[in-house]
Amino acid sequence: MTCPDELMLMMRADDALDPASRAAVDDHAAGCAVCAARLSGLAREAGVLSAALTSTDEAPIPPLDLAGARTWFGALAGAGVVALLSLLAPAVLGAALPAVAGWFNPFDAWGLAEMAVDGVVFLVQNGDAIMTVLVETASVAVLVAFAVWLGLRFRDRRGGPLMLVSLLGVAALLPPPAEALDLRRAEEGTVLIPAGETIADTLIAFGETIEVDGDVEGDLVAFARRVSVRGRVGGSIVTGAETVTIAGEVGGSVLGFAETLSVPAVRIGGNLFGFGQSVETSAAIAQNALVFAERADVAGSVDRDVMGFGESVEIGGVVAGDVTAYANRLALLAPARVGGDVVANVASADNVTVSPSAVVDGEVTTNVREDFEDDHEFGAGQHIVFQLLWFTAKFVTGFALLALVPGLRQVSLETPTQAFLAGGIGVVSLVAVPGVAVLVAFTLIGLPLAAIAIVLWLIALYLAQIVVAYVVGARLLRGRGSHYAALLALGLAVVMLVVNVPFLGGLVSFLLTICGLGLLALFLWDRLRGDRGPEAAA
Amino acid sequence: MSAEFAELYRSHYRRVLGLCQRLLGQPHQAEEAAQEVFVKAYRAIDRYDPAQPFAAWVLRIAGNHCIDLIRRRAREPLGFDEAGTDVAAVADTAGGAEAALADARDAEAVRAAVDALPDRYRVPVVLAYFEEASYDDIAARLGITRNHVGVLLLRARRALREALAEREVEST
Repeated sequence: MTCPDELMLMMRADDALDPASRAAVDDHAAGCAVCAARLSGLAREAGVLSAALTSTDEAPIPPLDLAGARTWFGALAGAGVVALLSLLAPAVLGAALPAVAGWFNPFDAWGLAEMAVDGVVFLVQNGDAIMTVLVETASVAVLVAFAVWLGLRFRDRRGGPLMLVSLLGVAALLPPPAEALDLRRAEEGTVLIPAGETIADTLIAFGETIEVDGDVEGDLVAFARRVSVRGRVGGSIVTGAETVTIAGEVGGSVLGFAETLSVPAVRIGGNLFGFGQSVETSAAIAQNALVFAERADVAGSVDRDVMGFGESVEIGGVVAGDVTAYANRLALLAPARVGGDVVANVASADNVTVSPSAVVDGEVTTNVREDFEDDHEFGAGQHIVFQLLWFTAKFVTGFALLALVPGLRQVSLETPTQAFLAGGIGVVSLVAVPGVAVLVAFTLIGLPLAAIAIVLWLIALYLAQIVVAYVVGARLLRGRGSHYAALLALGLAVVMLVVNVPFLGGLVSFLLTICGLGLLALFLWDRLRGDRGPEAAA
Repeated sequence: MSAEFAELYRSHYRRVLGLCQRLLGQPHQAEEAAQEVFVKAYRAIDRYDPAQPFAAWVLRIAGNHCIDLIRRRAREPLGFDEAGTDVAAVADTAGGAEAALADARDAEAVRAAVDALPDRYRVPVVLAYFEEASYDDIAARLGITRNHVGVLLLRARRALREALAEREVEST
């Protein structure tokens, strides 16, 4: 044997060779003084390194801070306090809640039930369109979650091909199969798609300001402080920002969350779902407009129905279908024209204004929501009983769950990325399980399987908030060595308060549920793979 | 927190802090990381096998935690598996070159030289010679092959020898 190279010798000195190579090197070194000397030099080198690195300073030992919660968890706790205050305020002050906010009041159980029934009717009528947008949005979320997850999980050489295969696989499932993704990000600056530029794919953009003057042929997903779209978007727009302006043509639907959502667009091919303080549109909307806003102003044309929730809803354009409003005030301004009925659920009959030149082909029905004042005491009592039942049921279930599956007590959300990932997986579970169940149910053998899957899915949905509550509790009392029952109770209390925040509670509840579903899915996945614990985390 | 865990914390804190300092190279980050490591250890304590030494277990958590931190703070992939690290590229050097490091007396100087290494070399060095992880273990955690670990370690050692030899020259 010729002299082994330095790598070989070093690996021998570090005892990192397979037995055959080790024997070969040892045999050689036995007869080669040069290599024997190098071997011992390399071994000494390792010893020096080891000794130098492990020698420790007499650093002072700080007290162990097991309770250091991160900022976003602090924010969550802050939200809990706000929720508590917002819940206590009406209860303590009684009728002091302004009449304006009457139907927002969570104690108004009857009003909520009525609204829920109307909501269901609306969903039945327009569910297909909403589902399309939800599925499209979920698909994009899945793609992003996958990319993030793969990026985080597989940083080694397996990552590239795996990511590619998964993205291709998921992209193939997307409704517009030819599209790919274009991800742009500018944390402090502006993401600008100049006029004349065409993005042939779905564009996902994050930044301080996003300006899309060019055309996007796929969907546009934009989250920033300010989003302005003046170009044409072939697919749907999903956006969240302080200010959103959409002034270009949109082939699909618009789902927007913004303080001010302004849609002076030429045309929206699908639906408009607007959530914000102020939502105004003068666009020609080919399907429905569903607006949750303090001030909702629908001045353009809507080919199907308009549903508005808020302090004030104004209709100033042509609505081919019905107009339904849950608001303090509803105004039909000239030149409004409603092809169907107008149903106004308002605080007072005086609050419905129909301009003399506005035309309603159907009937105008005004429901005054006086029941709130009368039922307040009863409603509040009922609400508190309901909340207590909710809490007790979730606590007992959660306690049993954590006692039976101790591994769940280790579940945690350390970073926003993990929360995002869990949420993404939650959305997938939420959409995929019933989807697959429906597909499987078409076969005779699959029918019982589908039923079982749906039952398990419903159970998981119920458990999801419990898991999140436990994680929240564990996070808040991190490291105090508290019993898991205490962590669960605290978390459930926080979750109960947060989901009861008027207006936002529903959204928060949904987010918590998908987060919990994701955590459950990840936990089960870990279990199936053989849980190796945090020591194998990297 | 149980008294037992508090005792484990007191007796292993410096070792964990040392590993974090060597892996991260930044004192403030290291202190925070060491705290986080014990929080993780505390939360996972029911998965600790008392038959194994606690030090090895907690150091492993620390190693993985720091690798995660390094990956997170790196603006671009660390390139543990970058092309050009095949064995042929690591040409053999003359015997005796290791003396600069093998005969180093000043532990502080060795530590400074290790701290100055780029992440991609420093991490395997610290895992191998501080945490005393095997090549196979390091390979699995960094997502590279065992041979590749060897190549990174050899390059790191050569860089250290050079740095220490230069220091020697400067000081004489």
